[in-house]
Amino acid sequence: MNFFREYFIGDLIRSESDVLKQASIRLVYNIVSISVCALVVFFLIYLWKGFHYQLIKNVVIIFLFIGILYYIKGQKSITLVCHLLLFISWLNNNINIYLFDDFNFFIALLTVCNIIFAFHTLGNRAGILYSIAHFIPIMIHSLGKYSGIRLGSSQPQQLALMEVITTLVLVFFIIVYLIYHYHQAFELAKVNIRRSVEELRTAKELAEEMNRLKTNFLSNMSHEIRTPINGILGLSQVIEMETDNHEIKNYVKLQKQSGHRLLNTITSILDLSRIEAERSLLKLKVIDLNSLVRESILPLKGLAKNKRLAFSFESSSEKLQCLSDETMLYQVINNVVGNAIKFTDKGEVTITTMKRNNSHVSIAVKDTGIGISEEFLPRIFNSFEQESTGRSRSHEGSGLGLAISKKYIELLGGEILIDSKKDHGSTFEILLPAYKG
Amino acid sequence: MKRILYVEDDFINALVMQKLLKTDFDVIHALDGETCLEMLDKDKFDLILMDINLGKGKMNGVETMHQIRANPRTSNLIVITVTSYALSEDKDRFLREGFNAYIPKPVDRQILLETIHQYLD
Repeated sequence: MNFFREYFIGDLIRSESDVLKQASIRLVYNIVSISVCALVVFFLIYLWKGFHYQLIKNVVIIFLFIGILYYIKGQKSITLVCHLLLFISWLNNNINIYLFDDFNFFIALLTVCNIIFAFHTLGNRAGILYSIAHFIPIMIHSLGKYSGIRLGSSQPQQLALMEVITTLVLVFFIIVYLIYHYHQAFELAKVNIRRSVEELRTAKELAEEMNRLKTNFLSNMSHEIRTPINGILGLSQVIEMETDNHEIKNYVKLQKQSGHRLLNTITSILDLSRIEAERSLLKLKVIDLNSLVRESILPLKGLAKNKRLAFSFESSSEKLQCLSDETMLYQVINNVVGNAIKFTDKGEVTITTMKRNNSHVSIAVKDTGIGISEEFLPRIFNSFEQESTGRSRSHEGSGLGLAISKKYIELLGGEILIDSKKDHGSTFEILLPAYKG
Repeated sequence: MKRILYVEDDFINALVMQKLLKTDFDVIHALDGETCLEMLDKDKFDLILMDINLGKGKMNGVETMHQIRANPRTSNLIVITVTSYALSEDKDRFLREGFNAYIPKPVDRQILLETIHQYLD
C-alpha cells in the first residue's frame, strides 16, 4: 500500500508545505485508490459469475481511475480530479433525484459529504459554488413535488432493508472519515504553527543580539580610532603653536588636513555600518523643516562665501512638518548642500523647501556646478566613488557622503531625486513623507 | 593662572592637552579616577576635564564624575568630558549623566578654549 502511495503522490506531498493541502492530496488519493480496489473486487465477482457486459464496463472504469492516479502523479495537481469527483457525485445525486424521483436520507448525507469535500479540497469559493449547485436541484425537486409536479418519469424505487443499512453505514463511515482526516491535519497544522512562532522568536532574539554586538563593536572601533587621532591632530596643533618656522607651519597644516580627512572617512564608514544596526534607534519626532534647513546650512555659509557663490534659502511660506530623526536629517541636508558648494566653482547654490502634492515635503538643492554625466548618474550613490576617480580626484572627500545620505533618507521613508546635466549644474531633491498632525 | 585637573589614561593625549592649554591654564594630569579623587581631596582645582575610558577594570569617567558630585566639597565643580566616544547619541548620553559640557576627540584647541572660558570667566 505504502509503495503505491509513495509512487503516485510521494513527490507531490513533499513539494507541498501546507499540512491541510497535504491532507487533501492524501484524501483524493485514498478515495480513488479505494475505488480501484473495490472495482477489482467486483471484477473478480463478475468474472466468477460470468457477467460479460458488467465485466467490460468494470474494466473501463478501472482504467479510468488508474488514469486519474497517473494524472495526479504527472500534473502534480488534484484540482481537476476534485472537480471531476464532485461532478460525478453531483450527477449521481441528480440522476437519483430526477430519474428515480427519489430524494432520501442518503442523498442528503452524500450532499453534505460532497460539500465538506469541496470546501476542504478546493477552498471557500469552490465550496460555496458546489453548495449552491447541490442545493438548487434538491430545492426545485422538493418544491415541484410539493406542488404536485412529477419531474421523474420512472417509478419510485424502494431500497431493500439490507441495502439501506449497508448504505447508511457506508455513508456514515465516509463522513466520519472525512472529518477525522481533516481534523487530524488541523491538529498537525496547529502544532506546526506553534513551532514556527517559537523559531521566529528565537531568530528575532538572535538578530537583535547580533545587532547589539555589532553596535558595540562599532562603538569601540570608533573609540579606539579617535584616541590615537587625537594624539596626531593634537600634536599637530601643538607644533603649529610652538614653531615660528613657516615651512614647518605649512607642513603641519597639511598634516592636519590629512588627519581630518582620515577622521571623516572613518566616521563615515562607521556611520554607514551602523545604519543597519541602528534601525531601532531612530529618534522620530515632528520637525519643522524650514527651521531645520536654516540650522543645517548655517555652518556652510562661510564655505560658499569663500568661493564667492551666491547662496540663498527660499523657504516655503507655509509651515512644513515631517516626522523624522533630526540628527540624521541634519546630516543629510548638510551633506547635500555641502556637495553642491564643493562641486560649484561659480554661480549660485539655492535651497528651496516646498510641499510636493499632499503627501510629501521637499527640499531642493540647486547649483550651477560641474553637473553629473549620464554615465555616472547610476553610480552616484555608490560608496567611495567620485566621477573623477579614474584620473586625478579634483575634489576632496571619500565619496561616502551621498551613500550615507541615501541610506538615511530611505530609513526615514523618503527618497533623493537627482536632475543633472554635465556642465549645467544639478538639482538634488530630498522628498520626505509629510506629517499630518 | 587657573588650575585644571585632566583625568586621562593615555600619556600622549595628556601631554597634548597640557601643551594646547599652556598659554591659558595650568593643566595637572591624573592617570585614573582613583588618583583624581585623591588629588581633589588634597588640592583645589577650578575645573575638571574627564576622559571616559580610564583603563580596563578601573573606575570610568562617568563613575568618577558621580563620585565628585556625591562629595559635598566638590559637588559644584565644573566637570567637562573630553572623550573618544563621539557617535551621534554619545553627546546626549553624557550630558544626561551630569557632565557640564561635552568635547569630542580629536580636540580642537579653539573649541576647547571657548568651552572652558565659558565656565571660568
